[in-house]
Amino acid sequence: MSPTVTEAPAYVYGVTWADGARTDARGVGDASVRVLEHGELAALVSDIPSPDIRAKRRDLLRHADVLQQAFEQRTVVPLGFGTVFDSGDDVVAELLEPRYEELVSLLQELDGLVELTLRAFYDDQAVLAAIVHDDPQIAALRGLSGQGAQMALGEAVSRALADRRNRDADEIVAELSSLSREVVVEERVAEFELVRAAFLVDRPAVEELETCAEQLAERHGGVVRFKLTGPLPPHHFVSERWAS
Amino acid sequence: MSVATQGTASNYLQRAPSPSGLADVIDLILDKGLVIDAFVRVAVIGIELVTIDARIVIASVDTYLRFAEAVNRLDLAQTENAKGIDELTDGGEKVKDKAKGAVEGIKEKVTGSNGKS
Repeated sequence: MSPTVTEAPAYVYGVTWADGARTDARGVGDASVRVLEHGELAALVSDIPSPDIRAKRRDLLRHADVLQQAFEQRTVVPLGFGTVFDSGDDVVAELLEPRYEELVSLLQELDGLVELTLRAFYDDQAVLAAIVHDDPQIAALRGLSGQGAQMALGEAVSRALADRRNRDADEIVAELSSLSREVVVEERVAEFELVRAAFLVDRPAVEELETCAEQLAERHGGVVRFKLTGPLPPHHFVSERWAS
Repeated sequence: MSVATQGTASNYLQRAPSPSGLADVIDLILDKGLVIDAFVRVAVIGIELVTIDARIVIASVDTYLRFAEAVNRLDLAQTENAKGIDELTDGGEKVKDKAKGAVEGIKEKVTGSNGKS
């Protein structure tokens, strides 16, 4: 226990370069966020009344906002939601100091890079219509009565949808990957979702990636809806776990 | 905050400079970012619940019958025309609602594991 300065538990959002780091954001629990410097590094922290965090809607949004705001000024290593140290002093003593070299090299590696996320969803009616249109066997089963015919129809549609999803997802991810340094593709997607992925790109390449997404959206127009978000801090690309 | 781009693709590419809702944010900060194990104060057990909205199409009787019903109900003459944006937006809302449910679930888990609220 340090006898000086803050004794309140300190919530940490991320680590950035000390040079140029400043913030006027409000953080978890509406507390003001401050910059805690140590050498070249700065942690973005705010006091919280209790170390027990509940994942409340507003606080989740605040965590992302604080990182987004900091990222718009300097490179940021984002921390996952819910990291709390016993005090501001402990943030230095247990994170910035012992992990100094690692954090510096992480920031150096990430300098000039941004994350963009892409989600792509089928319009359910449109994709089912396309499947019926493309497969005479499915078209023939459609409207037949009886449990057996219905099961056969459903199974054929399910298989056709899976094939189409794999084909479309591979194409979309491959095109966007060709403009990216690294890619994370989520395996788990919603029923009519075909891509949920994050792309790490050089900042100057953002525009190219946007153009590529626009072309994909045009090509799949009417059947696939795309959502491209960013530039974001590299949330998906520092997903390491540190034991201490 | 999101802005659709101009041009022919505008209906089908939504462009957002930053995460535009809880569902987006959950994808970014719950099991992502640097995790320093000893100092994480949110029960990790709750995080799995985030995947409530993330279900893979699995081969089951229920799925087959649902697909069969959906295909039988299709009005092919109508769906040949371009889909309206209203319906697409509706799809997005559904995802959001499910994610909201997931966070409620996390709250419950976390509160429960702390033994206080």
